[in-house]
Amino acid sequence: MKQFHKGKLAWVLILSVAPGVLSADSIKFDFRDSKKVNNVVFLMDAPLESINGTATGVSGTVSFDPAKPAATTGKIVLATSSLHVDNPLMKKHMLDEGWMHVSKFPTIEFVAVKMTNVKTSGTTIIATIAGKLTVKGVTKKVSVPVRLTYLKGMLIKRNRVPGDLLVLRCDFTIKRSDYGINAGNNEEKVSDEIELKLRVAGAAPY
Amino acid sequence: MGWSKSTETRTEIDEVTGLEYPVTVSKYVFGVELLGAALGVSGGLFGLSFAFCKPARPGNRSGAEISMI
Repeated sequence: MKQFHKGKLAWVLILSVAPGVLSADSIKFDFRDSKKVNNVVFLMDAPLESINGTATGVSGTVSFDPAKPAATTGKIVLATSSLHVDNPLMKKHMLDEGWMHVSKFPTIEFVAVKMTNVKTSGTTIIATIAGKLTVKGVTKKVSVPVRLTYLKGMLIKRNRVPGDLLVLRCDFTIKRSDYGINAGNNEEKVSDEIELKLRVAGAAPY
Repeated sequence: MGWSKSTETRTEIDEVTGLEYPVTVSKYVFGVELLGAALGVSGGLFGLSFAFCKPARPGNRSGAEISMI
């Protein structure tokens, strides 16, 4: 009976410690950026008009293990209210109910689930990241190419704090009709395809 | 030439990460819709000027014109 209890206790200990051991080498990078360097550029090229804008309200965290980049997971969040175009009337329309409806859908989220086709070259990793993109309350599975650059010990040069940086570059295209963004309307001026360029860096202080 | 802008966005590069990022500054740039409006108003005023022009009267004619008559 005593032996049974000892064995049971050992298993409980192993199971409780195992997740910590397994994720011990994974570094958590925070993508909040008060300097507003982290950004998303969006481009829409319609027959009558070409629109380009930016957004800098990026936050989120990514877990990255330099030894196992394929195990990268995380979530990047964009504040919809930070979407910006230089024309004030166009910006008002974009944030209004008819288009992005910011008051009801305050965030755009990308949850990274799995990384495949991982190719490492020095500090740079090129891969395909599969995840779920939520825009205007609609969640869809997407698979997008990504380039990660792991800058070990470089945080001190940027934020005067010792730590690592993870730079993430990702270019992909979505359709506004897929996410219910004024679908089917004004396509001669606002194209259905939206080209997105994500340029973000996460910090992991020691 | 595009639409009017109340801001201007230029791109800069972060020295440490090499990331390109937008810097937005307040600056009013006149757009094509204001040019169109200005042309429309000036055209309207030009047309309106014909409605108020005075007809030429004999008393106002120059001496040379009167002698020819």
